[in-house]
Amino acid sequence: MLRRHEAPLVEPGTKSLGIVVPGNWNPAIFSPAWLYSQELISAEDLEGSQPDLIAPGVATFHLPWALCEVTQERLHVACVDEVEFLRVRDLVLGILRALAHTPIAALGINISVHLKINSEVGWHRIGDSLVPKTAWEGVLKLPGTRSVTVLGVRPDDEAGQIQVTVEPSQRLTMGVFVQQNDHFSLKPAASQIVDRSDFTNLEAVYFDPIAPSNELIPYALEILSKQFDGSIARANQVFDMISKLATDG
Amino acid sequence: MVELYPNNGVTLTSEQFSVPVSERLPSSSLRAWADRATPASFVDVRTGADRMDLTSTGIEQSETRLVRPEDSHHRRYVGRVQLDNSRIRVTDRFEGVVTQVEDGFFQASLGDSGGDLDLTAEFALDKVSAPDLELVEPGAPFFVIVGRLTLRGGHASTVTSLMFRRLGRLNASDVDFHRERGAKYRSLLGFDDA
Repeated sequence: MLRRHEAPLVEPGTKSLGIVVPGNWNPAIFSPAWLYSQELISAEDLEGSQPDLIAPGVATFHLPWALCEVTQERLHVACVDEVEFLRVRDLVLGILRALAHTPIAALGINISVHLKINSEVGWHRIGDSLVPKTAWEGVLKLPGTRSVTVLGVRPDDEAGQIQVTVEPSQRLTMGVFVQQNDHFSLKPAASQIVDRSDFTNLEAVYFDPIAPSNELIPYALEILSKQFDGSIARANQVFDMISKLATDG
Repeated sequence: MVELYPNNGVTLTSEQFSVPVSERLPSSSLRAWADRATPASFVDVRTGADRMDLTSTGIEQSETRLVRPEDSHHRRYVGRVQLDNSRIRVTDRFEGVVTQVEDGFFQASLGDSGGDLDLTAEFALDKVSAPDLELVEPGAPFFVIVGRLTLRGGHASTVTSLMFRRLGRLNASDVDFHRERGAKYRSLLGFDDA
């Protein structure tokens, strides 16, 4: 007997990527035409681009495969198609090379996904696994997980951290939004945290701002070239782990 | 992350607020826009940068914080979640360099990101997308992206895409850097002695 195709318990939506570079940027020079002049996009990309807002202090425009947002405080290039991840990475590499005198302060590789959970039980399992509700019984009526952010020590020798945020998707019914923020402070870690007791001084350890400097650009280029695949692999591990919670709890 | 809420604590809906702002811009820029379009006392704007649980590179994309989902660019950008029944999931990737261009095809050396693979391959030029054709010349770097295309109903097939890299124009310091590096390798390999 033929069986109808059954939807899997967890269906991943398209992944999105955002690369963020905080620093002291000059939005006035950013436009699709400038990217084309730097040979970072094609003529077709230029023709298909669409400005959203070009104003003093802000430049926001779409390429056919990416979104560029530039303010005086940061550069953000993003896409919502996994096939375009490398193109976005190369675009940021090209921008950093072309603007080698721009002071930058950090680098973030953000990868996110919306997971569609085809079971209400499975959907609740994810929230309850990450935040058990036992402690909340008697305090809150029907406690539910709204947002969870978990911080992790970098697995390499770089300063920075990895944060994963999980929350109910606002775009999918019974969906879960998962985002990994792979944050690089653009300097080698003096020493990585090896003990949870170090978390008692969380702010000093993790939120140690670095002064923007153009001398950090070669460092950022190397990180983006060499660590990009690892960042994606880590995010995929996270997405798989969260997906499994719907089944295993 | 951006949350807009009037001072009386009632959350604004997108219909009530019509300033074309971005959810991912710093609060200072958002406030400036909000101030121009609405009474300054009416709206507070908060971004992810204001939150201690986000890093300076962290971005919140949850749609509840979208200011104007109906007609902002975010609607086109992130407003629609497509599931895998119409999308490609990347399963593998190779890095290539064009070694020779012939009539109707090109040869390239291919490797994987781990450096464990080294092979030569031929690709028909009609597999290259039109905007990238101008880039096909000896030395041009490209990616071969292999993906799994799953269609509605569960049908699936493997698809391959060639993506030529656009690394930007070389400036004088780039040229100097590569010249120096070339000279170094030349010396290391003993070509100078010969």
